[in-house]
Amino acid sequence: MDQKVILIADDADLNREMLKLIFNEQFYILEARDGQEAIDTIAANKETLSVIFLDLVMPNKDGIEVLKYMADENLKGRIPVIMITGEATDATDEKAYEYGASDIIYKPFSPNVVMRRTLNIIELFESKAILEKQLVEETNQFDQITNELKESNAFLIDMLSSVVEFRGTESSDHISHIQTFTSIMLNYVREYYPKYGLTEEQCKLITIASALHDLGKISIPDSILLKPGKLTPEEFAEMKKHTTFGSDIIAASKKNDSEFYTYCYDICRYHHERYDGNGYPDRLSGDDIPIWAQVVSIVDVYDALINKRVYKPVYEYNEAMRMIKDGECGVFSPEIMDCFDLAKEELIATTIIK
Amino acid sequence: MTAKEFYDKIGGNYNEIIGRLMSEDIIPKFCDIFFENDCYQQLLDGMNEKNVDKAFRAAHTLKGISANMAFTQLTLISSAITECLRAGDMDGASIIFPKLKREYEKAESAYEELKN
Repeated sequence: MDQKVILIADDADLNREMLKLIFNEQFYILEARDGQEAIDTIAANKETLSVIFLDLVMPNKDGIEVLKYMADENLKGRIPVIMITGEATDATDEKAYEYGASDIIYKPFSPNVVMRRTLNIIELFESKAILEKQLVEETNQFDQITNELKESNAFLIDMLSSVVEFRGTESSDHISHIQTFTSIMLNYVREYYPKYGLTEEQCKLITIASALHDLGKISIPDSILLKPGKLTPEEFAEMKKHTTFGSDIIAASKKNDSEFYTYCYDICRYHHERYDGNGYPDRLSGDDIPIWAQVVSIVDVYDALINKRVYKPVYEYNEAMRMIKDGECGVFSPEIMDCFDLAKEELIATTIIK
Repeated sequence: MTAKEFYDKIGGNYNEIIGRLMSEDIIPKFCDIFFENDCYQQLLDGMNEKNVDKAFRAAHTLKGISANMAFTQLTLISSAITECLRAGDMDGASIIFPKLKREYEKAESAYEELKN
């Protein structure tokens, strides 16, 4: 049967008997004669208890200790506690509420009032529990949808990037390398250079956006993109345009101003800029180059060095590190160089595993 | 002696207890439970031993069950003694105690009459 269970904890049997008289038709009644018994009974029946009547002054642990036990066990919001007290003073009332009682009844008991308030409080807690359950379910659903959206976004971006990659000459793992290296570098930037104000969530978005850095190569003719050997100055000038082609494509697809749009645009356009102003296409310098573009720049160079390309041999990791440090691939900011140094071991480890 | 006469004799509130128990028939059962409670004896011991904590707990219980039984006189006097003891005032409690003893014993003997 669906009979509700209540616990009456009071050291005076007369008080328990009076409450039993009120409730024994509608409820299944458990009794405790002191605080310790109350705690044991609560522990054994915490799933089924609908309400607890608790006397404040009891031997072997008083009512306050029972409430503390309930707070420790996280039962406070789940099982309502009605304090039984002899004196209706503001001080004792305040104390009872402060320790988490839901309501207070005074001796002598008035049966109708006690019954009415008890039923109200049970109903209140039951609907609260139902609402909480619904909220948890809805939150789970929402999280699931958000995750699916994030996954499908990342999937589409990877696919788009792969289209460029397959046509090009870069190793098939270039995109995933860039993302992994970008993520590693960003962790160091975030930790050691709080001045850039990067959050974990922003770093995730930047990592996704990094896949698109060479998107503009889709507009570079095969004769240049796939040419083995050195490009002529005219061809190189054309090749450099992949940065602006990329940012143009991004700008053309712009729906609204968002962080993610900015990361995609900046990374496409500025990932060949250099700290000293000797990069392209806009010859930006210093921290005019967004930090996310600076990060993608250096990991793009690093990945290019350690992988074979039509136009260059493959370099060993340490040699690649040395070339970057010596400025052979252009100048990077001191902060970026510092993070690259900090990330060195991790970058090499990830590269070897791959 | 009727239950009504019993309540009148000891300064209790008959209508109140009927409101609580809904029936006169179970008054004796609850009186039994009341007088079986050892809080009065504990209070007596606590007073003799000058043990404030023990006396306070006992007075507090006596006050609660007296109130529930609608033993109005006993409730008032045990309430007064409870407050003295809560404040740690053993001397104040000692002054009131004989009056409580009289009331309790009066209730006890009236109850014997009611039962017979």
